[in-house]
Amino acid sequence: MRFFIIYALLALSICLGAERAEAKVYIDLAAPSIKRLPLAIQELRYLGPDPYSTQEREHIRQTGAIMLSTLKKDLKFSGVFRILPNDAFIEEPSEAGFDIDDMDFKGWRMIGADAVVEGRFRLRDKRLIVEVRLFDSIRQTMIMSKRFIGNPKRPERVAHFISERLYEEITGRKGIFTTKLLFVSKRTGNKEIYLSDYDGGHRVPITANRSINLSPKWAPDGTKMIYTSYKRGYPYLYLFDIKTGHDEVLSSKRGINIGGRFSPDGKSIALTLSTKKSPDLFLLKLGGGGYERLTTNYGIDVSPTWSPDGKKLAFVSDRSGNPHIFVLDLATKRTKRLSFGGTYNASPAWSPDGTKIAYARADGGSFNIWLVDAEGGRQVQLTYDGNNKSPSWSPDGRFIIFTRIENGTGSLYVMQADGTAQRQISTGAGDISSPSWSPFLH
Amino acid sequence: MKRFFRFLPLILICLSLVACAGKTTVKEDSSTAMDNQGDTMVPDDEKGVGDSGIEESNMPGDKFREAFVSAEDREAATRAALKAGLKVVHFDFDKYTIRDSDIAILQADARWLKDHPDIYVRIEGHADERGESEYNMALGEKRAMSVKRYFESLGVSGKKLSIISYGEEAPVDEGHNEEAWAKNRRVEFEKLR
Repeated sequence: MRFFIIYALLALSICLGAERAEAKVYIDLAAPSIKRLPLAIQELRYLGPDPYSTQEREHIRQTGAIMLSTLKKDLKFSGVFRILPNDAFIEEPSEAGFDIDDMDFKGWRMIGADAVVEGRFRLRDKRLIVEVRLFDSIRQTMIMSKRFIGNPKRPERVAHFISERLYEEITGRKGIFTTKLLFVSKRTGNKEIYLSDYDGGHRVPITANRSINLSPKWAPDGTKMIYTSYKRGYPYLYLFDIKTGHDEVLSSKRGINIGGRFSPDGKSIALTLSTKKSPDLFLLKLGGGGYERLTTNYGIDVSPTWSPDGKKLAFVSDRSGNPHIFVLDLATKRTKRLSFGGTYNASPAWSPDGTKIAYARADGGSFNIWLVDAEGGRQVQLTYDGNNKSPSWSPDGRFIIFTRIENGTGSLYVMQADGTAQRQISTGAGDISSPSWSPFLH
Repeated sequence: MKRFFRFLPLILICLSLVACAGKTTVKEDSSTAMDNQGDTMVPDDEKGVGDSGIEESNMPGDKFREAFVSAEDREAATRAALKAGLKVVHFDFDKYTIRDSDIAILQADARWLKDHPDIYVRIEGHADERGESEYNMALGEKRAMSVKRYFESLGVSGKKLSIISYGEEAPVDEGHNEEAWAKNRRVEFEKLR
């Protein structure tokens, strides 16, 4: 019997040990300070048949180059890797290893690479097939071996999916590389809505009606968006299906139908309607549930944002004189003021983990992005330069995208949620406003 | 039975190893063959947008486009309204109360409306570009509401009056300075018939 217990414990420990090795998290994002993992990404080798023309050769070269640069850009963006320069590599791309026995782990460690990405690709039957392996050069093990199959016209999209897997493998968390952005641009002279990748790439128009289109916001499942448009003369709220292109009116009450935001369960929409007295917050219950009034006061109540549990709404109201951020508890109907400083506080955005609310605050002149604890209290300023508005959180809560206005023209910026690593997001479109970061899409 | 217990540990080890192997999603083999089960199919971007997804929803007879495509057009509309006998009023930053200096203008506007019972007007509220677009939409609405209520208090029939807000979206002056902003914070009128 004693033997039985010993054997059982042994069996258990073998199992747990194997489990731990498999789920090893190389970078702990919850740690107070993240030590960036030095990562080498080797050029992706072409393994298909020899190209039959110089044009095809060039196409193959470009496919590989786009994927490599996208992988490097994505993983650098995440802020948790130090991407080593390829010209420091000892291994020649043409002799790159792919099998664990061929890996020169010593060589990789010599140049300081703790982890190495090796990849190869083929183009066959109108498909781009990429095989990627991730190695731990210190433990000399393979962490990941995956094949990706996608559209050869969109090598950067295939690379975003690869980045997503690599990031997940190393941090144990979902990445944001396959998420998307909605935003408004005046590039054609009219405010129209556009969709792009998270990094501003692959921009496509969603509206082209030459009226005024405003405030695009994602449905929680990422397949639809709501927006306000003047295309029928008055500011009505519309629902647009991103998958099918189907467009329908959601709210066409007399006056303004603006600032619509889906509840986290997708069943209702908080929005501002103007009744006889003033613009107030309402709840529109989808599926024929009608409207429920949420606020009643003489002033302005706009720009609601849901707490992730769907129990509260933060919004902007001028009930205390000038625009401030308030939180409404939907069950108790009690309202609490969150902002006290500044002369103009706008565009609140609740963080995905529910603990914080980002908003834009002006102290007379230009706006800056601030954070406040969702329960109230501590206020932290995140931006200092320029005129910054309209914060929107990445679905993993690690980033905030916002608009910076210079000489009356807006452009997209992104930063880590603590205000560091601010950089511009290039979409190729001019005069941008109202960015909205998608939920996880894949 | 005793015999069974002697082998039980061995059975357990075998079972647990099988269980562990089942949970391993990434095989650490060094063979070149890829694990087909683990393929990630990268879906194409949404078909709905970019191709057929682009809508063109201005219908013939939609007055919107002709009237509000550009600032020039807007100025023409304002001039037409002035000709019609209605004057534009302006507002202080982030305010929707009627200025004392505009009371006389609105009283004259109200008299003119009462003298022309067949004319229906749309009261258009506007804001300057500062602040936030949704708030400015509500601000324009409040400004238009203020003027409508003042007209009604002077005896103009509410049936003749409708309102719309353009927020910060339709400035008369595209400049980014105090002078432009002061001009853009306004309520103006469009004759409906």
